Amino acid sequence: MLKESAERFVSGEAGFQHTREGIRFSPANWKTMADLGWLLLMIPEESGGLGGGAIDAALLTESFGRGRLITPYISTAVVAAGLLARADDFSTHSALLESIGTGQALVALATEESSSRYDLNRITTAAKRAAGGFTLSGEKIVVQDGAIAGHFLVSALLEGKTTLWVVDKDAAGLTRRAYRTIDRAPACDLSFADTPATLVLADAAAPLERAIDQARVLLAAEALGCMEAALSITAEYIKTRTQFGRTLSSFQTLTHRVADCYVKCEQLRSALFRALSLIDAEPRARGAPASAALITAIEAGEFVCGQAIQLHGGIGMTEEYVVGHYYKRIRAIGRTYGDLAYLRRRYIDLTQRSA
Amino acid sequence: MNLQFSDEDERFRHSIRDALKDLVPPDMARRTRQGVHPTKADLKAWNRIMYERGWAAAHWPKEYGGTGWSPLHVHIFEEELAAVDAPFLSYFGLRLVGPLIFTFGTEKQKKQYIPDILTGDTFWCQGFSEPSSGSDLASLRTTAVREGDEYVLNGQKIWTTEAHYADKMFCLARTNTEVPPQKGGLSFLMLPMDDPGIQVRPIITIDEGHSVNEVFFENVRVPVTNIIGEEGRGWDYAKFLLGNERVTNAHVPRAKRDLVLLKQMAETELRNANGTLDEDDVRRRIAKIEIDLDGLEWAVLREVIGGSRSPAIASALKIVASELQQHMAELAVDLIGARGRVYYDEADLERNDLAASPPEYVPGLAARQLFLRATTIYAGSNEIQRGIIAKQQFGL
Repeated sequence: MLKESAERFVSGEAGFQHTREGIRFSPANWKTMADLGWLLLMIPEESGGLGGGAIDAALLTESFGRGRLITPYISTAVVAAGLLARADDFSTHSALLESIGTGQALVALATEESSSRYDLNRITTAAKRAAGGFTLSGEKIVVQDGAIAGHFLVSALLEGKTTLWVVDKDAAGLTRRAYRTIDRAPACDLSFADTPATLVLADAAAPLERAIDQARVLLAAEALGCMEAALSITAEYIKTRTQFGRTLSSFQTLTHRVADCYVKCEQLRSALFRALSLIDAEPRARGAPASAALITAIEAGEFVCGQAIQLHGGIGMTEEYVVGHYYKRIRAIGRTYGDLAYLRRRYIDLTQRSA
Repeated sequence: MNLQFSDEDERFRHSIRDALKDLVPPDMARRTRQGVHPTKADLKAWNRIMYERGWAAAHWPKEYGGTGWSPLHVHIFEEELAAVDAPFLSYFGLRLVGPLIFTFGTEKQKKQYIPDILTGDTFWCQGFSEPSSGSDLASLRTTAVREGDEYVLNGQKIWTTEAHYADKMFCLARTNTEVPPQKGGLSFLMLPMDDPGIQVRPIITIDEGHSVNEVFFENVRVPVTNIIGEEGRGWDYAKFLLGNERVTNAHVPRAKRDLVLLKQMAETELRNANGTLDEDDVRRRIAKIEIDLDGLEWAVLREVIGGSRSPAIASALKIVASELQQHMAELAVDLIGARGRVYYDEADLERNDLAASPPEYVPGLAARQLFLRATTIYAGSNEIQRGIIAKQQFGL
C-alpha cells in the first residue's frame, strides 16, 4: 500500500514531468508527505512515530528516485530523526523530533569537512565548554539539504571523541553559504565561531555510522528508482526513434546495451535487498552489505543512466529532458555518504581485516 | 616512421613558448581552465591577438593567411597554446567554413569571407544536424528551393554550436528533393544570422551551460551566389569537413594540458587526503590515461603527417579521443571528494565567491564531466563510428 501511494505521489504533481521548469524542493510536496505520515515512518513508536523499518523507507526513496524528486526525506526524516530519537537526553530534543514528524522542521546533518572525505571521525570542528553550555568552532562543507534546513546536526570533537550537536540556523556565530548541487538539491557550507550548541550524543561515532549506513541503503534504493525509470524511457525511445530508415531498436548493439542495463538493475536490486535484510544487524554485518549496495548503485547507476543519455543521443544531453537528471542524481548520490574510493576501503576494512 | 623532434623543431617550440609568455590575460586563462564553454568576448579577444601575430589560422596555407608551417609545427604550436590555457579559437570559421571556402569557393567568396574569418570579426556556425537526423545526414529535411536568383530556405537545425555567437551560418540544405542527398540532393549555403526569417533558441545542456541551439528557417532568401562550390555536391563537401573534424576532435593539445593539470591536482589531493584516497588506484588510472593519450597523439601525428585519410582511422581516433576525454574528466571529479557534487555558478566564479572553499582547480570540473558525456554522441556517435570501421575497413 505504501508503495502504491508513493508511486501515485511521484507520478502526479510531485514528479519531474510536472515540475520541469527547474526542479527544486517543494514545501507543498513536503506537507503532503507529512500528511501521508511518511515523515513519522522512521521515528520509533515510543518517540511518537510509526516505528517503521528501512524496508518501508526504501520503498519510498525508490519511488522518489523514479519521480526524480528533490526532497530532504533521507537527511531529515531518516538520518536526523533517527539520531535525535537516540539522543542522550531525549527530553531536550523531543520537540524538534516531533516537528520533523509533522513536517514543520527540516534538520540537516553536517559532518563533511574540507579534508574529511566522508570519514566521520576525521574532523577538526571542535566543541568547547562556555558560560552556560557549549559552543562549536570550525567549518562544514556540502551539507546536504543545508540551504533549506532550520537546524543542523553537527559533528565535533570534544576531549578526543566525536560528539553530535544540534545548532539552530539563527544561532550566534553561525554563517551559512547556501548553494545547490549538480542534481539541484539545496546545500550549504557552514562556519561556526563560538556558536552555541546543544549536545545530542556524547559518543556519536557508532550511532552516526548506523544512521549513515541507513542513508546509504536508502540512497541505493533511490538510485535503483532512477535507473529503472531511465532504462524504461530509453527502451521506449529506441523503439520509436528512426535513423537510417529504421528504428534504433533494430540495431543489435543498442538492444544489447539495454539488456546490459537490465542486468545491472537486477544486480542492484539484489544487493539492496541483502543490505536491507541486514540493516539492523551488528555494525560489521550491517556495514559491509550497506557499503556494497551503495557501491553497486554508484557503478551500475553510472552505466545505466550514462547509457540512457548515450542511447538517446543529443536529446539526452539536454537539461529539459529527464534522463540527464537521473544521471546527475546518480553522480550526486555517489558523492554524498561516501564515494567509491571511500566505500570500497570501508568494505575491505569490514570484510578482510580482523576486528 | 620517426617522430623525434629535431633541433629545429625544438627551437621552433621555444620561440613559440617565448612569444606566448604572458600573452594570455590571467582571467582568460582561468576561464579556459574552469569553463566548459568559452565566452564570445574571450574568443574574439584572443582571435584578435592571434591575428595580429599572423597566427589565427596557423594550420592554413600561407596564401590564405595561414603560416604555411608543417603539420608537425602546427601541432607543436597548438600544444604550446594549450599549455598556457589559451582559449581554443572558434571552430566554425577557422576549421570548417574557411577551408571549405578556400578549397571549393569562388575567388569572390574568398575575398569576401576569408579576411573576417582570420580577424575573428565574423563568427560562424554550422548547420548540419536536424531533429530527425542526428548521426544520419542522409535524412536531412531542410529545403532550399530555387526561385530566380535566390534559394528559399525552410526547415530547422539543432545542436548548432555557437549559433548565438554567430554572424553567419553555413548549412546543408536539400536543393533537389528528387534525388537522395548522397546523389546530388544537398548543397552548402551561406547565410547571415540576422535574417528576419531565422530564429535561434538556446538549448541548455546537462552541465547547465549554453553552447548549442535550435535554429529555425522560415522563407529565408539566400542569393544563389552564396552557394559554396557546386550545387548538389554538399554530401562530398560534408565528408571533407567531417574528415577534418574527426582529426581535430582528438583535441590532443588540450588533453595533454588537462593531463598536466590532472597530475598536479592528484598530487595535491593525495597529499591532503592522508590515506583517504586509494593512491594505487589513482596512479593506475593516471598511468592508463597517459598511455592512451600518448598513443592517441602518435595516432594523430601519423594521420597528420602521413595523411592516410582512411575513414576507418578517423573513426578510431574519434572513439579513443572521446572516451579518453571522459575518463580524464571522471578521474578529476573523483579526486575532489564531496565538492564533486557542488554546482559552481559562473557568476560566483567571476566574483571568486566559491562554495565549499575549494582549491582553484575544483570549480568547473563537475560541469565539464557532465558536458563531456556528449563527446561519445556528437560528430557521429561512437556507435556510428564503429559501424564505419566495420564497413570501411573490413567490408562488414
